[in-house]
Amino acid sequence: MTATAERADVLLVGNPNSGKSLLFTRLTGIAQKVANYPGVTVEVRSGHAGSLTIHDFPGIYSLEPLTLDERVAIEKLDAALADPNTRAIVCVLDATRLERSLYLLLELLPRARAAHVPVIAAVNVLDEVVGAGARVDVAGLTAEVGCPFIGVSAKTGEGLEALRAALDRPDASGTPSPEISAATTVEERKRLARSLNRAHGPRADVLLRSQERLDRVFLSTTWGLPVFLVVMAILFQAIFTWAAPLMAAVRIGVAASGTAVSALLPAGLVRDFVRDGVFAGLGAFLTFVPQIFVLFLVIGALEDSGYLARAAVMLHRPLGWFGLSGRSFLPLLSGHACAIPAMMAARTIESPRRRLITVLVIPFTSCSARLPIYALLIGGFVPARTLIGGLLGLQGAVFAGVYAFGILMALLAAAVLDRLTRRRFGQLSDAPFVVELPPYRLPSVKPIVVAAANRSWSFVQRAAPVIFTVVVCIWVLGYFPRGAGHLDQSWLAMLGQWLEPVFRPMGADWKAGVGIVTSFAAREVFVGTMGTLNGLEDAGTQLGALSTQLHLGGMGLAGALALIAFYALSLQCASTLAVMRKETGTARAPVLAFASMTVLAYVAAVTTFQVARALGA
Amino acid sequence: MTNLSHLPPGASARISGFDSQLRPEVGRRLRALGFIHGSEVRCLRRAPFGGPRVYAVSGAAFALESEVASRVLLGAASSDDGHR
Repeated sequence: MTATAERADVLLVGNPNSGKSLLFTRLTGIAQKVANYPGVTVEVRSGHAGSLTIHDFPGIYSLEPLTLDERVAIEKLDAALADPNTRAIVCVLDATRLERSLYLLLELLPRARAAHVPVIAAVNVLDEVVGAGARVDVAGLTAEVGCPFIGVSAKTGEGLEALRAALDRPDASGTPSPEISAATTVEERKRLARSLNRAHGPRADVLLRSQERLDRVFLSTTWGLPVFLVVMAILFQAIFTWAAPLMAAVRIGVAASGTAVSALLPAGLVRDFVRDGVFAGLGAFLTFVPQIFVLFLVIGALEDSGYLARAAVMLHRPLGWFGLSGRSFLPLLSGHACAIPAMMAARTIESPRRRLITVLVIPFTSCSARLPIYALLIGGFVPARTLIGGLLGLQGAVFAGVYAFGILMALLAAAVLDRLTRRRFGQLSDAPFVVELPPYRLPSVKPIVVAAANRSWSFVQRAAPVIFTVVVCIWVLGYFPRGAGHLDQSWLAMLGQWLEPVFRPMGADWKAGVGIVTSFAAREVFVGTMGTLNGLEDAGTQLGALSTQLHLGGMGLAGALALIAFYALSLQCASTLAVMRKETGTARAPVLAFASMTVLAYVAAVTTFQVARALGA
Repeated sequence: MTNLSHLPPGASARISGFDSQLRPEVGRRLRALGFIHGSEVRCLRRAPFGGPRVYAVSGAAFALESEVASRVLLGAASSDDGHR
């Protein structure tokens, strides 16, 4: 076995909401690596602190797993314990929830001793306890438990030097009191944790009282809903308005570098491919990254502040009517920016069945790739009339209606899937909804920014290869056999003309048909394709000119509404399908979702067109 | 014999055990969180829309859906912890 001095790996273990991530960021800085494990939500982050490598394990309440994810996390922890390179475990305790943290420590100690790995107990969030006029008797705990306890505050930086010093010389020499060695059952450990907390910890009820004061507002029957709506309004404002300048900057930047790079190339196939294939595809995709970053930023802040747990609790019952859980709320919300991070967010749902249902219905929520299509069709075809004496514009109402329609369809689909899957999975697979209401805390900026950047990068890694492949295929179909500028004579156009009888009943001509076909790569290419087919260079900035062309081409309100219905319901995003396959671990989920949503979209589009035309639109 | 789902907001009681229908691993988790025999538990509030109730136990607050709460059995009601 390696001498302790040469072992470099330190494991960070602790309860959820114990400030472990902040401590990790404090110890390691911003350079982090995230290891994901297939099929489960478990991610272990690693970073360097001097010569040591620190591994941040997912927060756990107990070493006895309740869900598949916890089982994997604990298996990874056991494997790390058995690794000869493991130098020490830092068990992060939350000083404001000391009893619960001590329980995990008491479970961990015997396992670590068996593996000859020293444990250091870091009593975190000390600042809040001291602020509330209480204290933690670190020396008393060290003497009784038999491992070093160090008081730290990841927020203020207090005690971090002492923790680093302890990691330099991990000490496994302490001996636990006989009661601790004797405690082996859940009850015995829990009672021991309770008596240790009583003897050496702060009075917990003082700390709980301040959280109660805020819950009286955030979870109140009167104020809970209004506060929730305000928080949601801020979130939507953030992802649609605040992210807009960043998105424009990315689009302009990619377009400019595309022009610059293609200027260096000789005219011909390669230049056309680089300019119209690579950079146009890259632009359509990268534009959404800032928005996803902002979404992760706001969600990170909501999570760390403690509000997200309250929102999940408040919505648990209403979502339960549709076979979803309170934890489905965040994924469905994220779906309004992009389905891919939303499906990744569904990993926090404990029940495998509810998680599957949530992942399958996320594509119904109106993701921002649909936004330019709605902007084109609503702006160009819905009359700019005002309703209720000028209070509400008809176009705005249709916009809001499309979003509401997406949410409604997601909930209805969930209810249907709930009925269909209930027998298959059996009641046993439904993990119970037991959620801790963490203390309200002012979130720290750095860990949220670092986590949002990491998650955004993970989004790029997941989505980019698929989008790129499909964009290249579509470019080839649109380029050959006549070359650039002849999209209307390309294989793609032939395909559109051949498929025209299919699109006719929904009021679409072959051009819109080609737009729909290219959209199966990603919806955002629809506007660009329609622009090219109608002879416009940069359709994204000339929506008005494009809609005039569409009018001239014979499209009317009925056809536009049919297209809106089609795009609201269809699952036209290759990356969503690829990520859905990864997240559910089976190809059946994306195949089922794609087939049923395409059929649904087509039927809805045909119905919309026929009804609207019959009504005279 | 009453259970946790009937504990009104503001009231406290002691846990006397679990219903035999509760899955063992869920029982273990609840015990690890502090819902153990003899523990004092207080109902803090009921979430809006008839949602889960929030309980304080071992100095932390947890929301339990009623299917789970109804499996946690309560003994005689108590108004004060007595241990403090």
